[in-house]
Order: sequence, then C-alpha cells, then structure tokens
Amino acid sequence: MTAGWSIVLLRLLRALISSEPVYPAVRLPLALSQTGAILEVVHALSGLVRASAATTLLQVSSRLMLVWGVLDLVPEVRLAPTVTSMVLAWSLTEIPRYLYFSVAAATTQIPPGLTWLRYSTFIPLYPLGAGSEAATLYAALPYIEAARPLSVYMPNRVNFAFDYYYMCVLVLVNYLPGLPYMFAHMLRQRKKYVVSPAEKLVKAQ
Amino acid sequence: MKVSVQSTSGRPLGDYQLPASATLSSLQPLFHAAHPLYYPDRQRFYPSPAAPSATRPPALNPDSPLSDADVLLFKDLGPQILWKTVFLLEYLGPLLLYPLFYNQPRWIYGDAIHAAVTPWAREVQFSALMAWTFHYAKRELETLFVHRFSHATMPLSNLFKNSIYYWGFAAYVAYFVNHPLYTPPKEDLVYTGMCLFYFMEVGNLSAHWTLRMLRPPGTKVRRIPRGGLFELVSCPNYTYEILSWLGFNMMTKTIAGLLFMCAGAFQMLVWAGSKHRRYKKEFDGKDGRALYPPSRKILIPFLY
Repeated sequence: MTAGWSIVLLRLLRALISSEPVYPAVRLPLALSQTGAILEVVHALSGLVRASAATTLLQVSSRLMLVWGVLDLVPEVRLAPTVTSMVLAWSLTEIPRYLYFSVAAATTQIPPGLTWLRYSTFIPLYPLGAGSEAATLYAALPYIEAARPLSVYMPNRVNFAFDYYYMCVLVLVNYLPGLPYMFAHMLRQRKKYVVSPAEKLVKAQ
Repeated sequence: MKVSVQSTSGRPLGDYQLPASATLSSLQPLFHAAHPLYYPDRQRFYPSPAAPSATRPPALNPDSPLSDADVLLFKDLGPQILWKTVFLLEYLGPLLLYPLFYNQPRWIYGDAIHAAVTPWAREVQFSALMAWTFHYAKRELETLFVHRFSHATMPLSNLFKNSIYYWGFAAYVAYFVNHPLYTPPKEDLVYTGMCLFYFMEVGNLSAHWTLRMLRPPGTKVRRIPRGGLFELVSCPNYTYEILSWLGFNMMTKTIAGLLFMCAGAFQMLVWAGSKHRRYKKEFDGKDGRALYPPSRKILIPFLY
C-alpha cells in the first residue's frame, strides 16, 4: 500500500512538472490503492486492528465515493484543480500511515519520527483533503443533476427509488459536521500516541 | 466500615462510612449526597482491578456486598431518562408520521404526480396502514401496561438515537408504500402476508405476556421463561417480531420495508445473543441454581 500511494504521488508530481493533466496519470494506482482500503474496514470490523470500524468506514467510504462515484462517473470534473490538491493530500497522508503500519507489523520498535509523522501530517492535510473532496463533489453536482447516473425511479415491482443527485447533496452536507468530528478524533489519537508518551517520559525523568 | 471511591482516572471522590455488611445500594445515596449531579441511576461502580494493567472487572450491582477499606472506581453513565419515556416517544413517530403519508399524499408527493392509484393499490395501502398502526399502537400499550423493566433508566443520548431510527424508517417505508406510483403485489401474496403478520403479532404479545408474568410487580427478579416457543428459543418475542415484519413485507413488497426488517433483525439477533448468554450464565445449574435448558436455541428453533 505504501508503494501504491508512492506511485500515485510520483505520477502526480511528474504530471504537475510536465504540466500534463493529473487524473489520467494517477487513475489506475489511485483506484487500486483506494479500493484496497476496503480491507481496512474489514480489519476493523473483525477486530484485527484496534481502529474503530465506524470512523474507518466513514473515512474510506467518503474517499471511495470520490474515486468511483465522482471521478470515475463524471469525466467533466476530472480536470478541476481541487482534484490535484485532493490526490496530493491523500497520498501524503497515506504514505507515512501505511509505512507506519508496515514497520509496526515488522518490529516493536517504531522510530519516534515515524509515529510523529503519522499522527501529525493530518493537521494541514486533513482540512486540505476533505476541503478538496467537498469542492470536487460540489463541482460535480451540476453534471450529476443533469445526467442522473445510478438513479432508479418509481414505478417498479419492488417499489424502490433512488436519486443519486440527492445522495450527493446529502453527502456534501455531511462534510460540515464530519470534518470537525474526524479532526477531533485524530487530535485525540495524536494526544494518545504522540503527546501523552512524551509527557510520561518527561515525568519519569 | 469505610469505603473510598475514585474516578476511573484515579481522582479521589471521597471516603464513605457505611454500616457493617453493607451493600452497594447503601453507598449510592451517600455518594449522591456528596456529588449531587450523580443520582443513583447515573452511577456505576467497579471494584478496583488487582493490577493497574489488568482489565477492569465487571460492574457491581446494588446487591454486591462491600467490605472495609474497599476502593471502588466510579463511572458516570451520563444523564439518564426513563425507559418508558424513551419507548413512548420513539414509537410515537411511526404512529403519527406514517398516516400522514397515507392521508395527505399531496403534501408529500406534490401535485405534479397525477397517477391514478388503482383501487387494489389503495386497498393494499390501507391494509398496510392498518398493520403498521396496529403494530405501533400495540407497542405503546405494551410499554404502558405489559413491560416490566429490569432497569428504570437509560442514557439520554439513546432517546435521540432510537427516535432517529424509528422516525426515520417510518418515513422511509411510508414514502414508498403510499407513493402514487406504488405497484401492489398479487392478491394471494397480500393475504398470506397479512395473515402471517397478525398471527405473529399475537405470538409476540403472548411472549411479552409470559415475560411479564415471570417478574413479580415492583421487582427486578429474573427467572427462566417457559411455555410455547420459549421451550425452543430464548427470545421468541424477537422470532415473532421478525416474522411479523416478513408478513408486512409480503403484503407491501418494498425495498425500504425489507431494509427496515433486516436492520431490525440484525439488532434483535445481537440482543437475543446476549440475553441467551446471560440466561446461561445466571442459570448454570450449580449451587442450587436452576439449569438453563441446554437444547434451547437463541432465535431460530433447532438451528440458531
């Protein structure tokens, strides 16, 4: 996974330098890496990792929504500048995060620098990532409203209707409470793994 | 004797003088007097763990004996609300919202949809309204006159969680069943579903009645339920309830109703599992305690 996100980042930077469109360059590794994150929800649900299943699900599903439900579905939005900042924020967050997991799985001694990185990069990157996600979704709304992909209407034999446009609006509205909630969650994690151990060290001396 | 209390993070919360051979129930009012915010229903006490790293032992109940120099850990359960209030309010949504969709389709679907609802569709919608209303009216009446709760209160936040669940699903199901473009199922399916629904509702009531009769008024006594479907499963009230929603879905045939049934069934599966384990633990057949029937399943006779 670390490798997958590194490829995303490298291709993103290369495309930026040669001022080519970003999305075609990152499309495949991005789709693979982000879809693989479904496993994280499975791990959290099965209790294999200590992370809460609810927050993991929230995080992964919103990203999947962007990758498959917006970027893949709405070609018109792929060139938006917020796509670049979004993919940049995602890959910069995921590289140290998966590196941290890999090191943690291999040894018990995690370099403190890596722990710090894993629980600190979110402070600028989370607002950047979530802000870009919301902006990209917002930019896609007019196209979704016009084309109404994935939507089902009454009447039908199972009496079901689903309007993808309204679902997108609902998801967008949920970013408002979602961002501070997740940010507070990450701050608590940071306090637990970065700040508190440092305090304990100071107290012990 | 003297008992001291700490918060779970180790902050001292006072020492309390109690008569010899006192139980937790005599500490609770004293603790409330010292900390007026924490009335007894809001308090939970744990014995302090043997070692700091050990997992926290299970909570004490009001009859747990205390001994001199005990150190107890206190946990605030948060603001509490009566179970009865929560039940009455959460079922009020389905009872009031659903008929709105049936009676005032213009408010919900607007004037634009001019579909002519066939007489048969209207008949199915009416039967569904009756079934739905019957179910929630029955629940309200059971809350008032049948259920004897083992705990008086639950956390206030549950009121919001439960109400969102019931009010939300009521609107979601009602929206599709009462839709002007609703497609009703065939007659035989509707009538089979309706029969299943009402028979299972009666079964559910009978299970609730059996549970009521197990517990003498004003007590929190627990006994092994007997008779009827109780001989086969621990929670027949849930078995009946799930089948009754299956009947409703056969009658109405909506994805929304199916989702509601699955969500409910999943929750009941979890509750039934923990109730079953509680029964087995409490009635282990040792030291003169009754033995819980070993062949009894959780929710599905002979299978699960």
